[in-house]
Amino acid sequence: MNDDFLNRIRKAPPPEFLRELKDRLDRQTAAPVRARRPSFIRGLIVGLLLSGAAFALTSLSINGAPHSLRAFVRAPVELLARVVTGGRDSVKTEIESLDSRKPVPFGPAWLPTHAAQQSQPPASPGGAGSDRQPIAVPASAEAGAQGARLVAVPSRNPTFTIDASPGAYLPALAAADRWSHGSGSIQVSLDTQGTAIGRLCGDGLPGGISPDMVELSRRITADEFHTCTRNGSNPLVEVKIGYQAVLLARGRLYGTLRLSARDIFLALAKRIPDPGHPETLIENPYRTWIQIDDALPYDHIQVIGPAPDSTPGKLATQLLLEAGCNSYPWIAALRGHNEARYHEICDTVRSDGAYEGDGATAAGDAEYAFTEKLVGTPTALGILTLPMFRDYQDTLVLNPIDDIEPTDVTLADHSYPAGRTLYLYIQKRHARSIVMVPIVANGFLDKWWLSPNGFADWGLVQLDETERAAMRADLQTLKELQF
Amino acid sequence: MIVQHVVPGRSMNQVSTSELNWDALYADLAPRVYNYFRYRLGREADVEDLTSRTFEKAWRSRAHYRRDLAGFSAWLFKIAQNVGVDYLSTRRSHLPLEAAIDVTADGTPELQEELRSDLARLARLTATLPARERELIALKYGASLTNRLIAELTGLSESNIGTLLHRLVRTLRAQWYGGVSALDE
Repeated sequence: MNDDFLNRIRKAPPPEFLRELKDRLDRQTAAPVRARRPSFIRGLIVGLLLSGAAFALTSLSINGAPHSLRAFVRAPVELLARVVTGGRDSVKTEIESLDSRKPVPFGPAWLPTHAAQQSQPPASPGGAGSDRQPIAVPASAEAGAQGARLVAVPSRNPTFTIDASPGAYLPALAAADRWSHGSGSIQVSLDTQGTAIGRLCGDGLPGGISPDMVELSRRITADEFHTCTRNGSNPLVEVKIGYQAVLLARGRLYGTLRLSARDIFLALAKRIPDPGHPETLIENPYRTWIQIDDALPYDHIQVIGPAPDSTPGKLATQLLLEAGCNSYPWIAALRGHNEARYHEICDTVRSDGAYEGDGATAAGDAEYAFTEKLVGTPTALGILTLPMFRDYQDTLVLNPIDDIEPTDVTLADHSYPAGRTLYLYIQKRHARSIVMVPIVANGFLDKWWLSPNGFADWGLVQLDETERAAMRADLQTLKELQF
Repeated sequence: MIVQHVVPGRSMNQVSTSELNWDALYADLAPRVYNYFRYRLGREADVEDLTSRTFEKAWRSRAHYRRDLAGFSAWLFKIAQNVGVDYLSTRRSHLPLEAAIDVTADGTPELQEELRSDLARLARLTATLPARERELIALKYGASLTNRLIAELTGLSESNIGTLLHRLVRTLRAQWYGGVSALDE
């Protein structure tokens, strides 16, 4: 940014002025710091601390030490949750299948009187950590009906955990950072195997770890949902939290290219299906658009976007390439049984110069330089986010994909190929018993996560007010997911 | 950044008030505050007075400086902003400050010279801008603050500041060079 004309107006203050001011400051005596009077709030805080300490000491003296520090720290939270829910829901569903007449103790889970302790299960071979409190849940719907066969599973993780699919990982990290205040008390796990929903529903027990929340860049499938139901999972609550989308744009002078999602995949993927033998992959041979489709111009393929190894770059290539990649049925089918192979084919961008990784991912000079490059390069297509494009639509023109532009409507109905929806899934039971679950879930609907926080918000599009209100209402009532 | 040469190896948040090197802080910050007011007011008059007021307030209250809340420079510029707002509101009841630069009439030679200066030119170009934009220009180019610190002072996001400044500079540059396109610069 050429801003020399602004910088050169600056000048040094007159030395005599600086000297005189410094002399005056040196002569000035600093105002003494007044001792603060005890305030009501301070008194209240001290009182709460003292009563908390008294509670903890009393518990320790009666019940002995908890089996871990984490369990000890979690105890007040659990107690609070039980107070809020009246001790009804947190363990009711599990306990009912065991013995509905047994009262639910009104205390932290690690207290010896906790219902879960009443059936001491064998230690799980899976090695659930010693700090995980076993509870009794039906291993399956059938077992639940019999009401007898119980397995030991971790009740909840020692810290609040979010399992996130790769596409949803950044927003989850932002949420964790936001709500744990850097303490690490919220742990985000990257789910590369696509098994997060299974874990949320309690699959893979015993010994598995059930996350408190799962964030996906796709909707739960009917199969996953029915598997959850069959396994006797507690009802799930689904929260749609927003979209991820990127768009292609060119300099306004040069107009648009009529591109399909498949054209973009064939232009940018490192390896593509051989036109003669579509089930064989070859190194991408295309240099011009007309080689891909006769209807396209004889222009060099030149796409400028974020560095492919950066997080925005990975997101951009995923969003742009996967739609076209999925137009090959055999590749799309890989997703079900060979996820790694699928991503290798669909998300690997070519490195021979057709894709230039010097696009901008943040507002400022780099963004301006990037858009200027698009304006000055007739053949270049740029990868932008919606907010970025809105800032420069006087000089850039949006290039539709499959004749579809990204709008609230086309994102919501999934018709825009380079966009996808982010969903949050929680167990209804967790939402009632773990204080942080509704707080964090509601946080995802706030505007904060669209504020700059590194790259966390790159490509994110928030729900409109109406949809957000609807999602908040669903969260408030813990509306159960139905298929 | 001042933090490094005040107490090397430690962040400002870890520095106690008694450890701060006030002389170094003054040497670093006085020219910034001085230029902040120059850019904000678009004139030389009263700038020394406002700079003095800012430092006197800060020095008088430095024992109250909450090192856990903000860096010292952010704290000082918050004081400067308040001093500037007070000054502008007082002046405005008599005469719009931004209009003052256009009042020529029977000025002194110094005033005439000032009106021909780059600073006066900037003031004329920014006179129609909203206060927030003028404040951003003053903080960025007068005080030479980082976007992060400006974000802290204005409540805007860093990225928003980057975009706003970028547009402002583009517009001002085009006007500054008499309609020559920014691309040609």
